[in-house]
Amino acid sequence: MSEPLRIALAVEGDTDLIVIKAAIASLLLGREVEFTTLQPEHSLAFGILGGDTGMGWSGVYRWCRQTASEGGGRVSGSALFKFHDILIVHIDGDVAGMTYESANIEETILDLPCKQPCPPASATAAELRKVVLRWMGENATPVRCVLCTPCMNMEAWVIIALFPTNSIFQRKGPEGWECHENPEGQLGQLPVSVRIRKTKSHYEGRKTEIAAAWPSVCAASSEARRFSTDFHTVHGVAHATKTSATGGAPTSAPSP
Amino acid sequence: MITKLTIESFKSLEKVTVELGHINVFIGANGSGKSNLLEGLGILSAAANGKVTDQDLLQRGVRPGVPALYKSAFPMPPAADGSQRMPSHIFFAAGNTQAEYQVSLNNPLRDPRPAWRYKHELWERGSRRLVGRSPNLRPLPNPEQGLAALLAVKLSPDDPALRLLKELQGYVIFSPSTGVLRGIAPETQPRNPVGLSGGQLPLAIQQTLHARSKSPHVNKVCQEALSLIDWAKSYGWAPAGSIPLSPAAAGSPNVIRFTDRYMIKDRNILSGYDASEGALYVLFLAVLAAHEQSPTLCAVDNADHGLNPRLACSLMKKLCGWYLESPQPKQLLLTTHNPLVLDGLPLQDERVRLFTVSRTETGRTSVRRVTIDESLVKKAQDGWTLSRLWVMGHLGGGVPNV
Repeated sequence: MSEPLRIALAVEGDTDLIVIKAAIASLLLGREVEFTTLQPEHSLAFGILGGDTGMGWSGVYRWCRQTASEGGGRVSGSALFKFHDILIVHIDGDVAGMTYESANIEETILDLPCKQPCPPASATAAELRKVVLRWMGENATPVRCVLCTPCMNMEAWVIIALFPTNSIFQRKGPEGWECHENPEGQLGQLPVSVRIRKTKSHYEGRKTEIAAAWPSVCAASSEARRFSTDFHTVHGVAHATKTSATGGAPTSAPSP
Repeated sequence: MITKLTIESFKSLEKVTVELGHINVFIGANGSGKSNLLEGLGILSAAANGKVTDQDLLQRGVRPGVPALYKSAFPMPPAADGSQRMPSHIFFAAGNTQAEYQVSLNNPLRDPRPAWRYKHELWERGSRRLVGRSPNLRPLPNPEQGLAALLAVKLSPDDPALRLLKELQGYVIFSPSTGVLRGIAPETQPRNPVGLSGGQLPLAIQQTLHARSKSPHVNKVCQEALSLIDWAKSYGWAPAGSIPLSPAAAGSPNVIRFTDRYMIKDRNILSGYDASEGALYVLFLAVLAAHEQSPTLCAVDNADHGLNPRLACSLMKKLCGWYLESPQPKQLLLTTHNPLVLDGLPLQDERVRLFTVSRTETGRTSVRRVTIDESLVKKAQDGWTLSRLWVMGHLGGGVPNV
């Protein structure tokens, strides 16, 4: 077995993780990969203050803050880059419409909500990425890091991948699925026989289909295209870094 | 000492090579393949000893398995003729700078035989081949008998190739269990100085304590072991009838004897049955480190079993010292799930090695050494510990099953 590519992921939820893994399977064409799912430390005993909110976007927030602390103020200083080739941080675009208060987060810099008019979806994604980078203590995306910001959430990518021709979902207009407020709700309107529930087992069962349809997802989603492009860039950097065996992850943006 | 171990096509280990030190700790999620790694070396041990049957494996603490489960069954691209390809044999190799022993074994999936058959066998001293076997060798030797074990009797005891083979032959996997250590459950694999589940520990303790006067090292191990059992003033061995013990628990003629430091005289003697299980695991590992008959190469599966996290950390620190300072060079492989064990490892010493064990997306076991560099040392200055970094997932290697 050749040395696997080691990818660390901080993602909102289990089903998001499956979709991202499917995308990576499509992008890497059979290369052996080892994933580490990252979560913030928390204690159930401390309730909401202890981070007892599941993962969700507030979990990603807490993970970013904890890891930035470990990294001396920025995620790129974290030890995780010594043991992983790539870090993926996922946050759904609809978080741009949230407030910190809604997630019981005490923040002094209130850069949420940051939602922008859609289309284009990229406007909201760009603002949200700035917010996430602040959580990470970064001015720019670290070299071996990919920010994954599906708009408005991951279910948009799932719909494009699994139901490309379903008439119930056909949307008119240039914005496609990326500006839809509630793609998950659309999935729920499907006939029971073809409905996909937002559970780990249902998504796992469709993972291969999502991977196969990833080029179509990229064709229909600007953020999926961006994720693919950034991943390829970072993969190239990771490969070069691996051969030179450096430790940390210097900060400079691989793409805007 | 073995410095390199390779296992191929065995269970989840499709192809794994590990460069070993004196103390080797494997940490990873349940089901990541840690025990498979220890067992792979156990199969090589049986092969080096001349025969690979269920009995030979059990004696080494290896779970015997049918070929359908022993041989990796990862999907592979079909052969040119469209047939399904699967590895036909399992392969193991171990060696150091002076010698190497490797073997590939086969047993049919259907109607497996009691003994695995040697397909290839290679035993080398440097570049000199001492034993070479392939399916083309004529006349065909007994395929169920290892050739290296036969030749071994002709070699000088100082021969580095023989030393390697002897170390391999003596390898066993200990899986101490509380019931056996307490003396209330039978030992299924007895051996000297302790059984694979910790049986005969009272006698082994007696022998170890007896050796204190002859060996400063043994004396040190015994004293440090006591220092880890904070409630005990002393420990030793005694006939079961000589100390207070429930008749229901008197399953063995001899027991471990502790003196409680807090209770009044004549009411402060208790046996291993009544002692904390952590104390029993401490003494078990102390015996492995100090007893003259303990194997020079062995493994302990779930070495942190029954230990408070802080005790696991302290014990690991002591254990590393006991092994590294041993006058008789010894090599140890350990598996653990306890993150605090990591904080007791002096990893800046090349002889102590930590490996993360995990599964790739296709299920193959991946083993990676955790080395310490300046960036990690700086984490310590900022108050971070290796255990915490591992729990956070930053060391990779299959964080606990969550």
